[in-house]
Amino acid sequence: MSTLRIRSIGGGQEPVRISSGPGCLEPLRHIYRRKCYNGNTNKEEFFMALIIASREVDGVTVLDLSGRITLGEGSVQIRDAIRDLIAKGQKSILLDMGDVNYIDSSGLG
Amino acid sequence: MNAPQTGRMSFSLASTMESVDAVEAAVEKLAVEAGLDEDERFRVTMAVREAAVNAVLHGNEYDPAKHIAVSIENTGAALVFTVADQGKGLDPRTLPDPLAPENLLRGTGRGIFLIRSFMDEVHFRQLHPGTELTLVKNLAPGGEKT
Repeated sequence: MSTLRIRSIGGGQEPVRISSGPGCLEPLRHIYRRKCYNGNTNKEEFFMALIIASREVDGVTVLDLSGRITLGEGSVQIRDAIRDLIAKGQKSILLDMGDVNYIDSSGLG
Repeated sequence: MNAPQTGRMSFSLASTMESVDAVEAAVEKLAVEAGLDEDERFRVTMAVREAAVNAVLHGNEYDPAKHIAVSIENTGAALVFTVADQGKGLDPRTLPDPLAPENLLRGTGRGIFLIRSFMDEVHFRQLHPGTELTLVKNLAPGGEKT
């Protein structure tokens, strides 16, 4: 079992450290969480702001994004992840945004 | 922060992203209590969040000596939000059009566009110093979104 790499995004954000198990094979995974009001449950809860998981498919690096892409949370991390890949010479990158449920103006940019 | 079912609440918050999250949570709660459906809650919450981000990032530029002033109100006829910063001021007429072909790939400049798209009324007021945005979402007489 290996520990996944988790980044904190600074003040007030609590990094979440988890360990990979048999069903968790992603080699790269960033998780951010934030406490906010859940209108469906009528109480404040911790939400996973953004999860980025990376996998390789036929020479293409697929970044599976899940959660929110907002200023200070997801947008910077996505840029960092893509820049890291480009710096390593990877030019075939696919963003799977099927599980992204919120994008603000920064995320659009 | 707790939002009222009707009435008005005001906050003075530090120029941080944590303040933006707190504003978002309060707006979400107010929108739930006002009976907005999930789609309308999303629009209202994002619009106010964008205004708060602008106040923290572009207005106060994260200056710890400056605060953002936020009010949220359910008048019974509308949800009314104000977000004010202590920055250099903003003339909305100078904002570039994010739909112009030369701006489509820009990394910024869509916040006010989203706010105007999602709210029924948007007003700018110049403070000395700073800018105040007033955002209005009309409600139907029964409390439901028009």
